[in-house]
Amino acid sequence: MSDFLSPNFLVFAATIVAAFLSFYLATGRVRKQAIASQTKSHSLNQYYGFYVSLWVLVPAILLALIWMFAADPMLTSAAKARMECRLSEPT
Amino acid sequence: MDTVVDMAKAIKIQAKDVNVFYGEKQALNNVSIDIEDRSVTAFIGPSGCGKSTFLRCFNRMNDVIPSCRVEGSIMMGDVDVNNPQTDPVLLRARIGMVFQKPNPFPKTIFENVAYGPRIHGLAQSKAELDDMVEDSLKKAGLWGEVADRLADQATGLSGGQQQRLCIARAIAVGPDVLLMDEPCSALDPIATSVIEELISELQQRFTILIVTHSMQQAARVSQKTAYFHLGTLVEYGDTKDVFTLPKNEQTEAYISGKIG
Amino acid sequence: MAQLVNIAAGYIKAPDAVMAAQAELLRAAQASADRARSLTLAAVMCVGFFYAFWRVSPELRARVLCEAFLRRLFFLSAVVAILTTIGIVASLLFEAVRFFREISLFDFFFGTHWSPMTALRPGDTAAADEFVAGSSGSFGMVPVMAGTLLVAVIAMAVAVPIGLFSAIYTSEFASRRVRNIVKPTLEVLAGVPTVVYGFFAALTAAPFFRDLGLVVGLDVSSQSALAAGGVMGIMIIPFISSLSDDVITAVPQSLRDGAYGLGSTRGETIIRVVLPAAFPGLVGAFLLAISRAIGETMIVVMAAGVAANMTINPLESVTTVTVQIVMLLTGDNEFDSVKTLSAFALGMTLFVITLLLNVAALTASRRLGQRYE
Ligand SMILES: Nc1ncnc2c1ncn2[C@@H]1O[C@H](COP(=O)(O)OP(=O)(O)OP(=O)(O)O)[C@@H](O)[C@H]1O
Ligand SMILES: [Mg+2]
Repeated sequence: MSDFLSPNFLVFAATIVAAFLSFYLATGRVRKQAIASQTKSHSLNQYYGFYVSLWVLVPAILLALIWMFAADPMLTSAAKARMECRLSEPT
Repeated sequence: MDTVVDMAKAIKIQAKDVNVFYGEKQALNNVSIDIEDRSVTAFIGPSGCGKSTFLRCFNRMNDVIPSCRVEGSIMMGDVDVNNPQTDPVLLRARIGMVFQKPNPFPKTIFENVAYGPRIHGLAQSKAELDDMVEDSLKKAGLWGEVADRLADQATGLSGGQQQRLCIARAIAVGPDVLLMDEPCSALDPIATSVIEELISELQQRFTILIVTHSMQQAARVSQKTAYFHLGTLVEYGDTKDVFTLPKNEQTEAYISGKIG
Repeated sequence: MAQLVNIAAGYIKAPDAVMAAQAELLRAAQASADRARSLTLAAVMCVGFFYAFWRVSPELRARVLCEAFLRRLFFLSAVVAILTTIGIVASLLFEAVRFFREISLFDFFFGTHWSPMTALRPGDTAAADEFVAGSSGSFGMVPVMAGTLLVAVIAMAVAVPIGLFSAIYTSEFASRRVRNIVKPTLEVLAGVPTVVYGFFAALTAAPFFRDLGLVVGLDVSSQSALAAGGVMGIMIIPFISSLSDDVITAVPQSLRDGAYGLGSTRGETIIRVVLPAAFPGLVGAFLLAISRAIGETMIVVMAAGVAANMTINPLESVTTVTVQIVMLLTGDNEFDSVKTLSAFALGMTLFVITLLLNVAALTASRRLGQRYE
C-alpha cells in the first residue's frame, strides 16, 4: 500500500472531512431551527459551525497527542522487555 | 497723542510682500508688516491661517522644512533676513524662539541655559558662563525655583517651569527679538500668568512677536495686534483699536467669537 | 532498540531470526495499537459531534464560546513558546551540570588552557603529560572566551562607526529620495546568508589581509581574527544602522527645532542635542549587536580557525565559543563524554552572556522611551 493511502493518513483525512461536514450540518441545523421558531439566532450561523467543528476536532487532536506521547513509547518498551527476556534465555 | 507715542517707537522689523509656499500650496499671501522695537506684537487668527509659518520666517526656521519656500523681503535693521547670503545661524542667535510645547534638551538645567552661550562662544570663562546662566534664569523668573538644583535634569521640571527654562535658554544667547509660538498653550492659568508677566517685563529689552489663540492674552500683553485669515494679513493696528473698533468685519467676527 | 523499531518499520533487514521474530511481534502490536487508536478517535469525534450538535439552537451563545476557544488558543501558543524556551534552557543546564560534575567550575571559568580533543586521547604521546595531569587542565575556557571577545570587538570596531554614521546620514542628512535608496540597500546586506559572509571571509578577506600583511612586513595568519571580525562587522552593519536610524528618528523634532532656534548648525544640533538624546537607545542597539556578534557561528567557523590561542593580537588565529561547540558536536562522538558535555557548558555560558546583554539593551532603550513619555 502506498504511504499516501496508509490507514493513518486515511484516519487523518477522515478527521478533516468530519470537521467540514459537521460545520455544514451545524449551520444548517441552526438555520432551520431559527426559521422554525421564528427567532433570530444569538450568533451568526458560521459560529455554530465553528462550535461543532471544534468539538469534533479538539478532543480528537488532544487524544492523538496523548497517544503519541504515551502509547507508542509503551509499546516500544514492552517490546524491549520481551527482547531482553529472550536474550537472557539460554539459547 | 497716541499717534505721537507710536511715532516715537522705532521700526525694528519690516516685512514686505512675504509669500510662503509649502510645495505647490501657498500658505502666506503678500504679507507686509512693520514691527515696532521693544514692544509686543500679537499674531491672532483661526487655526491654519499661517501665523506659525509667518513667525518662522523671521528666523528662517522654515529652511528646516524641505518643501518650504519663502519669497519677499524681511529687513531687520540693515540685515536682509531672507537673503540667501545671510547666515541663518547668526540670524538665529539674534532672534530667540520659544515653541508651543516646552522642549528642554535632555540635559541638566544649567546645561540647557548654557547651551547657547557655549555654541556661540559667548563666555570666556566658567565664572562668566555661570553669571550668564544665572542672569538668564533671573530674567525668565525661574532662578528662585531652580537655583539649588541646576545640576538636575531639565526634563524633571514642571511644564510651566520647562517653558520658562526655554525662555531663559533663548535669552541667554543675547537676542534682541523673541519669537513666541503659543508659549502658553500647554500651561495652566497660573503658569500662564507667570509667563505673561514675564513677557511684559521682557518687553523693555526685547522686541517680542507672539502667536496666541487667546484673545484675552493678546489684549493683556500686546501693544499691536495682527489678524491673519487664510494666509493674508487682514488687519493690523494698536491692540486696543483692533479689539474695540475692528475695521474689518472678519476680524470682528473672529474676536467676538463668531468664527475660528 | 532503535534497530528493532527500524526493522519493524521495514527500513532495515533483520540480522537474525530472533530479531525478525521480535520485530514481527512489535509490528503486530503497533498495528493493533493503530487500529485501536483509529477507533478511539472515531468514537471521540462522534461523541464530540453529537454533544455539540445537540446543543446547537438559536439560543446557544456560539459566538461567545468560539471567542473563549480563541482566547485559550492564543494563551496556549504563548505558553508553548515560553515552555520550549524553558525546555531548551533546562536541557542545556542539565548537560552543563553533568559537565561540572567532572570538571570544577573554577577550572572551567578560569583555566587558561583549552584542548578538549587531546584530553581524550590517552595514547597520544604529545598529550600524555596533560592526560596524566588529568583532563581538568584542558577545559579552561578563558582562551576561547578571549577569542570570542576579540572577534566581537573587531566586529564592533568595524560596524559601530560605519553603522552609526550611515544611520546619522540617512536620518539627518539624506533627502527622502536618497533615503529610499540607501536604506533598502543596507537591508539587502542583512538578507545575505551568513554562510556567504563565511566564505567571503575565508576566501577573500583572509587572503587579502595576509597579503596586505606581507606588503607591510607583518606576519598575518591565514585565518586571522581580523578577517573573521572584519567580515562579521560588515554583517552587523545593517543591524546597527537600521536600529540606530530608528532610535535617531525617534528623537522628537521639537528638540532639533529648539537647537536650530538657538542658532546651532546642523552638526552642532546632531552632536550636542540629537545624539545625547538618542544615547540610551544607541547603547541598546550596540549591545544587541554585540550579542549577535558573539553568537554568530558560520563566519568564524569558516574564517577564524580552531586553535585556542590566548592572544589579543588580531593578526593571529583565534577560536570562538561557537566554533568550539561546532567542533565538539559534529562528527562521531559518544554523546556523554566530557568532551561533548563541555559543549553544553560553553553553550550555557554563551547563553547567559547574550541574555545579560539583551536585558541590558532592553533596559537602555526603555530608559530612552520613558524620557519622551
Ligand atoms: N510642514 C508643512 N508642510 C506642508 N504644509 C504645511 C506645513 N506646515 C504648515 N503647513 C500649512 O500651512 C498653513 C499654515 O500653517 P501654520 O502652521 O502656519 O498655521 P497656524 O496659523 O500656526 O495654525 P495653528 O493656530 O493651528 O498653529 C496650513 O494650511 C498648513 O496646512
Ligand atoms: Mg501654529
